[in-house]
Amino acid sequence: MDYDYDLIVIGAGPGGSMAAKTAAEEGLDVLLIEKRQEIGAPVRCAEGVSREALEEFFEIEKSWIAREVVGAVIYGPDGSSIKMAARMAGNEVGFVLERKIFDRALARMAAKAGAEVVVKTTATSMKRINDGIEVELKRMGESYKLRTKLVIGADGIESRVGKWAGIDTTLKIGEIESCIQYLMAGIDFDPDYTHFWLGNCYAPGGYIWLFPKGDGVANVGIGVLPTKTREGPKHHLDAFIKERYPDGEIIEIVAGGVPVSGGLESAVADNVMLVGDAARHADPMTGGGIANAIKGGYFAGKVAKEAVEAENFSREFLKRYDELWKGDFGETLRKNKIIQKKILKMDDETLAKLIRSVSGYDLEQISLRRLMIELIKKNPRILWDLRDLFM
Amino acid sequence: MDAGKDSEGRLVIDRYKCAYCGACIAVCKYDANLLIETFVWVDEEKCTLCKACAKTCPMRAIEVVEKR
Repeated sequence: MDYDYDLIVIGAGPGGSMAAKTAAEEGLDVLLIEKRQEIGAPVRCAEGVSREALEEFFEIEKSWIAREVVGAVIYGPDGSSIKMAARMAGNEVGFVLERKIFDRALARMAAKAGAEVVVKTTATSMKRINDGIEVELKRMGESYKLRTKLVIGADGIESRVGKWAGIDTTLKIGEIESCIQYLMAGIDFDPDYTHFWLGNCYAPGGYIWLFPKGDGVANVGIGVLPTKTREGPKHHLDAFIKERYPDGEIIEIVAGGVPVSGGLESAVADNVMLVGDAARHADPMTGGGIANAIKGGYFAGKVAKEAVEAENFSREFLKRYDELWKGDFGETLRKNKIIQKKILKMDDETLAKLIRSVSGYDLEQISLRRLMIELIKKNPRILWDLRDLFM
Repeated sequence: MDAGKDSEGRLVIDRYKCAYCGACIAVCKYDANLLIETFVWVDEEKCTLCKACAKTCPMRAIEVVEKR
């Protein structure tokens, strides 16, 4: 059978571009397609990522970063707070990105590595033919079919690729955070920190965030769980803003769903691998997805090379990708899903009590894991069932 | 289409509210909707009016209206 490509990557977010870049660097013939007419827009993201997550793969360019922060402040429902150093706070704290620039830079890297990139091109269906796969595409009114050995689905929260390949990616309404975010100008906050407000009084089943982007400018957003509130996220965010930042101007609105199911059991099928939000790889506790999308894209790109070399595109072979992501961030997804479920059961009084119990600690020196251990020690009755995760 | 569903209504998306984020697609277990770049298309044959999408929509752009 003649193939047009070794690999077609569907979706040019960070996960897709990373997969295309990695596979192209390995010498594969790669096509990267993006259904939107612009890569990186509209943004569907709070734009927070750690320095480490980027440094692992890239020479960081200044233009990608809107603002660097030194840590995170977490506010409880009663106003008490804890402050953590960025390097201790995990995957989402450190940089606030300019996704419109970052996503394009990544797509350019994929192109530079040899991948073909096309925009305003949608995959409309897919079927297996012999050992390969035929993808039907629509590009500005023109329909055409391409044959490829492999497909990487990096097609986001609304992923179709998984379903075409027989992977059930449907999220229950208790497994998706419904999010809205305003880019606000003219507001007052400490720009050296990202800020998080926890509690049902702010955001039922989620939290409110403020990620600094510049002087008096920040992403102020909210995620709520549809099973926890009848109102949409906008209602809750507007109430918060009316109270805190009544004079701020909204200069951009961002909406989106964040998968918090904790990842698919398996992100592969015959000829197909899924990465990023399509694989439900966002962190179920923090909602952060960039770091895992980049890693997943890297792993999928490497496995694509191995599969082409072995001329084996079966699900069985591609399970190597499952092993790689599970061995890297799979355990954290699993643990954080358990913690998220635990937090969802807490009332605001309990949550406030937990935050108060550690608000005196020097969190410049303490890791998230250490903090969890302290929390469990101080609040054994509330958190006893979490002890095996950390102790 | 069965008569019961016909009398219940149909899904309407307010284009002025929709931010084409795709959250509604992720929760549809009937594969009854599609995001075509900035346009959400609903397959009325497949849609069961379960309202999972309406409950998830961050912009509250989805409503079930009575069929005339």
